[in-house]
Amino acid sequence: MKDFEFIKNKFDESGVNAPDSLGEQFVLDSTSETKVPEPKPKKKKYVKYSALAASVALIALAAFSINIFRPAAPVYEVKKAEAKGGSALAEVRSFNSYAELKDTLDKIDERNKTFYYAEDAGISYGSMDDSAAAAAPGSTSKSASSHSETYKQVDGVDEADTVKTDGRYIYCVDYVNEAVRIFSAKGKKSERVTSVYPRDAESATPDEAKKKAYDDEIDVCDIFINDNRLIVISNYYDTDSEKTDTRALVYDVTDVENIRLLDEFTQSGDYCSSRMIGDTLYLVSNYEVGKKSKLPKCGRGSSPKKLALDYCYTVEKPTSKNFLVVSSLNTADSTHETQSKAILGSADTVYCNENNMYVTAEQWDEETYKKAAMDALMGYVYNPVNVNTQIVKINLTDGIKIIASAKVKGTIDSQYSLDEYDDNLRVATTSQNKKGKDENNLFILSSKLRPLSSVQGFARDEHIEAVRYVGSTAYVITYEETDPLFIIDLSNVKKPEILGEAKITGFSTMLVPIDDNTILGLGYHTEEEDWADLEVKEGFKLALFDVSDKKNPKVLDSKIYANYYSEVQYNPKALVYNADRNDFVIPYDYSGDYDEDYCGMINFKVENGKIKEIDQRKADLDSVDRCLYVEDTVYMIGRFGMPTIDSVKYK
Amino acid sequence: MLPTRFVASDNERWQNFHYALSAHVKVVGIVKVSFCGRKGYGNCMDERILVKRAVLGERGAFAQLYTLYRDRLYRYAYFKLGNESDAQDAVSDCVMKAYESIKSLRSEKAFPAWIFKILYRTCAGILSRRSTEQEREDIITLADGEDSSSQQLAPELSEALDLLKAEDRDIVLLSVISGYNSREIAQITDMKPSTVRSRLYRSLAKMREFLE
Repeated sequence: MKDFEFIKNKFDESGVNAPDSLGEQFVLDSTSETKVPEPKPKKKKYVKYSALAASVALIALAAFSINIFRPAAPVYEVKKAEAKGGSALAEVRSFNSYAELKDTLDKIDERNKTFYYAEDAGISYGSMDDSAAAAAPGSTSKSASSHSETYKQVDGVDEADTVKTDGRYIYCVDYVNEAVRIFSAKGKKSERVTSVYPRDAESATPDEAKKKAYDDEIDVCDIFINDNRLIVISNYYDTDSEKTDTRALVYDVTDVENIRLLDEFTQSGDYCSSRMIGDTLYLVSNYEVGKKSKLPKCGRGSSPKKLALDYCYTVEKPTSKNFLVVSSLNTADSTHETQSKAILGSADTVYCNENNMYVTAEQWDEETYKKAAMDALMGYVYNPVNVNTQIVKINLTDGIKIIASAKVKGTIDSQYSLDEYDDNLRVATTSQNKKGKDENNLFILSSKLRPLSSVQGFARDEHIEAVRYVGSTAYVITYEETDPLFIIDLSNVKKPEILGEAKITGFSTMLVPIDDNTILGLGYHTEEEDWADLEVKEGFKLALFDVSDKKNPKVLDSKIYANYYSEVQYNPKALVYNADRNDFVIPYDYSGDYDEDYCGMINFKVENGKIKEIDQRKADLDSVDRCLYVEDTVYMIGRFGMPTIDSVKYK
Repeated sequence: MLPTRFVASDNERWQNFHYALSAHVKVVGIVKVSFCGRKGYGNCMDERILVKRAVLGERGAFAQLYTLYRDRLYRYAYFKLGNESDAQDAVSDCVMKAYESIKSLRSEKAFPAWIFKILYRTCAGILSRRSTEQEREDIITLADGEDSSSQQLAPELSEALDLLKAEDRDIVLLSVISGYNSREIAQITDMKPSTVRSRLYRSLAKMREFLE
């Protein structure tokens, strides 16, 4: 009997049933006086998180991200702080002494006195973003054996993922059992060859490993495959100290029957993100300062030393006791020195190109935080005011160098909301005006993150769902009822200009450029019906936009898959682009009305201004969350419990 | 007592359950209403007709509709809140809110999900207010006879649930009692569906190990 059935039976036999006093008569009696209001006019409000906009919604004790209604605040001037000893660092400064660090932390404590209550009430700092955004054009590198690569924002900068392939094998994170499963890529003859249980370098037995997984002491997050090396990044939680470490393990998988551990690196904090440029792994974590250990620990092995104060910095006005920790590790050479730096300033999202890494975090003003705490305690939905995005720029070309930090108004959608072009940083955010209505902004910051120009307050009452930058043009999808695609011209950095917009129902959460004149949007189809004032996402949707005339973008084609859902709707890495065939594959789950559930993959291409479905195949799995391809075979991966794969040939 | 029978279909997938429920309603006479639903969405024609009538303002239809969900709602509230009195408050609050806003419900098939969402939020409010009161007044235990830790129905099941983190408990209750699938739970709890699936899987196994 499956676990689900077993537990369900237990509940059914529990004898817990509604008392007679809560029967039909009770309902009839208590509703006799109630005046039922007339149905509200059809004002569709899409609420991304669990809070209802209009009514009083209540927050549970679990950590929920707080939703997004904020009145306008001026763009923050990036102020020049006193540089330490004449160094080039302006907005970010180092600590002159340990006492100074302690003093800074105490000031934050003072300011955030109500934090204590807030955390109990379940306010989480940072965001739980469930939507994807724009993706860069698919990587076009052709390797010896043609196989898929992780969808990347920037070519040349690899991103971690939970599935990877090197053409020989498929590597798949099993987040139930905290392992990495390795399957041979042999079409229908594929099978699980072996597993990697990343624990301590002193390998624990699989049973001990399983227990640790169930006790939530280890959480395998992401993997990389690079030159016959498998890199596994996990969170390790220590129940005694209640601290989390991020650990990267480098394995040699040239011979999967004899996998060897090559290197191990640990840094304090919760894993935030990572990138690989060449052989170098960049690891970013968010470390919450402890009472005893104020400084993060970084280094090889599983118990590294504290980072020297020399390598610790702070943003101008830090508002939280969290260090953004960034390290570099050469995965091809375990003798090569690692490097780490920490900035008092939190880490939430990372945008990285080959030269610079930009780490962002939400930043709340003092008033904001106090109000959040009080509202949450009263059980009201919290509408934070003055939420900003703090950005830290880190240069990677010659070791890790902290360049600058800045704050912009509003919050970003994902890493795709940022883009560096001609040394300037473009950032698109959603903020709230004085009346609490959503509005959207695009800022251009200089190479030192000084504000150059901006477009503010566009698409009122909507929030950003996708952003994509192509050279000096920004394509922004905002959504409330319809899916306007905005085209913003950024060629004059002093004067960005909104050129045109196109409307379509539903909304895209990911934008993919097809060619100079065409952009593909992937996202949600929504139905006209609404219940309890929420618009219902009713399926998957593809939309093709003609952007040849930037002042008049048009919708060329759209395809709706009702009752289909796909991981690609909120995770850009689920899109599989095949450069050889110039087509796409996405995973899907279908749930119809009458007990017909199935899943599989859809293979489609864009041709002559139309979206063409090439093939749609079902998988012999419970659900498909990701796809990969190796040569002419598409692999579909299902993960409920142990990961399993199924495959079909490309048509 | 409403007999409830959950039958797993031959298809092993956990999502495919047919809910069969017969309800005897003691108001006007004996009315037999059968409800076939699947994972929170998709209910039988009879129920959809009730929803339609309730939306049009028929109190009787709304009351009948309620009886179909009564035990599931109560069970969810009880295991979430831990005691009978809070569970009763939650269910009655939820029903009032549902009645007040039923006219905005335009999709009959969305009724189950809709009402559970209301209940979910109602319970969250009770929990959040409860922690406030305890903090502010420094009360450690409730008054005599209302001690939420004793006199529990189904103590074993409650203990099994206590093993889990609050979020995981939510996921189990939403899945097993309310019948949501991982995508729906993801939407309600603001997590990713894959996260919901893996946490559900682990939580069910943990609970089973304890109960067996």
